[in-house]
Amino acid sequence: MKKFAHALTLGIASALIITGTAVADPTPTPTPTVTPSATPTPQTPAPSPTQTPSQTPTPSTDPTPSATVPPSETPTPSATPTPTPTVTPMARGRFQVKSPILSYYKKLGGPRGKLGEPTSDQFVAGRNVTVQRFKNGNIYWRKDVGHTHVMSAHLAKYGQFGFEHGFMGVPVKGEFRGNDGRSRLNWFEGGTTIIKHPKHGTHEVHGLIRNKWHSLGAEGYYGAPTTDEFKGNDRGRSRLSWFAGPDGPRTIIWTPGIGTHEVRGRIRDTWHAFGGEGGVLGAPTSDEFTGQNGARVSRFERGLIIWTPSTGARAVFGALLANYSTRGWEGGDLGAPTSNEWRFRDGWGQDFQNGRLLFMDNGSYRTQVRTNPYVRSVRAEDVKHTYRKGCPVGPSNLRVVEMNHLGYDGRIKRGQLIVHRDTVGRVTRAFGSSQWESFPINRMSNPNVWRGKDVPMMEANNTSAFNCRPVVGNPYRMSPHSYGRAVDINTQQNPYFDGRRWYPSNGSRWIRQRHGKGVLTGRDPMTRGMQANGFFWGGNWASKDYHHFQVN
Amino acid sequence: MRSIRRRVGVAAAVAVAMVASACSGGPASHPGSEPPPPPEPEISFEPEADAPPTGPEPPVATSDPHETLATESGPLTAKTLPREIGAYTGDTDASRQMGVANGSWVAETEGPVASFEALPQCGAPEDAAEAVSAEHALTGAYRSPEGNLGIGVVMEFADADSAAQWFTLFGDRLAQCEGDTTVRDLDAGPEQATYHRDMAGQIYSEAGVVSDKRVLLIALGEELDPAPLADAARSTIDR
Repeated sequence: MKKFAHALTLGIASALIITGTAVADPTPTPTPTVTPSATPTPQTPAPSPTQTPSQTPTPSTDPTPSATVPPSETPTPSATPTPTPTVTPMARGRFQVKSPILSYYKKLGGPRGKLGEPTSDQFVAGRNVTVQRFKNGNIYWRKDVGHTHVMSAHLAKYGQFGFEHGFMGVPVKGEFRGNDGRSRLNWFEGGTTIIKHPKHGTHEVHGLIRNKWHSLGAEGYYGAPTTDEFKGNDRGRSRLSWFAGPDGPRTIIWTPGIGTHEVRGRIRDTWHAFGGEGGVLGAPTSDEFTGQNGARVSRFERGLIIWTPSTGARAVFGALLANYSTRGWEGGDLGAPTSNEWRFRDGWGQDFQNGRLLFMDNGSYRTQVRTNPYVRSVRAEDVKHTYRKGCPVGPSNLRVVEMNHLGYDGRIKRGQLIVHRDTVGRVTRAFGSSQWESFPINRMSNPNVWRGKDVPMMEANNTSAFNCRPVVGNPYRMSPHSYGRAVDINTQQNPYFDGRRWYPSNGSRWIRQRHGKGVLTGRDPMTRGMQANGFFWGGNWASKDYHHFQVN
Repeated sequence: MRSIRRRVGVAAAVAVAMVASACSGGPASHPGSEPPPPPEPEISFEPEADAPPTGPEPPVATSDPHETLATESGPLTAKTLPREIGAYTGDTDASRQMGVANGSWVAETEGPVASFEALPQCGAPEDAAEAVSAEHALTGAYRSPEGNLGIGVVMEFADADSAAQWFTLFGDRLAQCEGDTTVRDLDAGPEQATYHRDMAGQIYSEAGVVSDKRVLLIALGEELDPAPLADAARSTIDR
């Protein structure tokens, strides 16, 4: 008895020592090594951390579910046979193996089995479990859970966390082969798994992180842990475990008040680059899910990370996110981010597929547009009301240029111009520069909308190019629009005088008011862009045609 | 010991990162600088959009639209066009119809462009693109007291046959007009044509005459008897 008590004291002592180390310094190096911008979030306006970042984005909370059935959440202990007191004890050296350990020991092969010779007599340890030590591991028995054994590396890990005295409690299952065919596992009554993987070592997974891990496919699909659970770099608020997924490292993180989520792949890399849970983005508030236009998205407390094959994984947060979220996120007019945010002299900026969003230090936003032109051939329906037999340039020599522009509402629109094929370069360059300088264009629709009629199209404030028609008042001269080499821009704010009256009738206010949104002044980005590319501006004519540009 | 090393390693990494942050403001920051340059434009083309051009190529004007237009074209001067046609008179303010104002009611138009564009947009476009071209052209702008606009174009070809050939094509195409552009009251011969043309609701009374290697066309923007227009054209075409 004195010997047992001594062994128990040693066991507790060693467990306490090891446990103390584990708690003070949770295993690997969890802190991401890349440190983000020190103060990347503009001060105001602070976006609500609880904003939902996507209109319809939460289709799949578990994009990569396990094809393998995970092990049962709550391991069912085997029915516990009552030890038979009549079994003859087995004496091995100084130690004796007897009921209730003996039957299980024999089942494992006895002294020639995997556990080898006993190195202690059995004793009753904490939590009322009967334990006996052997050369290669321990056998545990308690009436409600039956027999289990814990060996070598699993036992060492168990010991790090205080054996049966620690949060793991008594082993309830094991050791058994994992559903990846390579790992060996033990389960414990406290909802803990100790898993040994030949490549990733021996680690424990427990609690809500373990539940999440199981829901995602555990070792068979999600991957084996590469760390024990450790404290997050958010002053220990969160708890994390890392895993070796088939496509790279993955994190499952639990944060009080938020829950348990997983972060993986390039999104995880970017999250780490911004400081992980302790950084500007904070802890995840969602698993990775499929967002709009097929993007992959993870939400965080103070931002989100969006990944697409062409843009990579980029973070949006702070004041830029506040504006981005009002514009439909990755499915909105800006598209997916193509850069992280950056600081410049006058504020913060970030690039997106369709433009650049700036948050100025004075609190205003500005959108610079990437026109992203797409040039295609003209189909009959494109010129249904603007071309007829006899026109000087046929559809085969025209091109449809579809491109983005800044609308009067400050949002990026997609419009089109039909121009001569030899004018495509000039037009795309001129619009490219003017849109990058945020010159607004009301709309750029096909003139077919107005059946090619110039007057109603001007009243609708449409910007257009090709339209086969004569010059007003001159049947012997074709408008340069007939060649696809003229462009009319913001017709309402830039009216024209045909020698008798001004057009359009709803543009008279801007005959003298030559300033404001969409007004061509000669010094504005649109006029400068067009003139730099060889266009002549009708505002230079004595009889003004403010909306008109043409090139030979 | 191992855990101590680990702790030291983490602390070192954090320290290095903090120093880096202090220096650069972070990996993507440009404090105190201009924004990054705009991304390279990405223009994408449908494969067919790169196909070589097909169909007729109309003449392209070569003059600089910023330049003040000339008031003569070869031998053609303001005297070659009638200064007055009925109530219409030459309009020095009608630069809208010609380009940059030059203080005159007439302005030079490039001959090939003028002869191409004056052909009605009716009939096969190939015929217009391949038609004989004028060498010189001068345009005159008119206005009536009511504010209606008119236009006159005189063209000189290389020879009389070319002028006649062009004028024949002009009449043929007039006869083919339909749809938005219609022609009525057409009285066309080898040396003269009078008619009314409706272009999407705009009525023109017109006349055209040929004399030697010149053709003179007049269009006034209202419903009138076109015969006096032909007489006016004849009175000046040879000057």
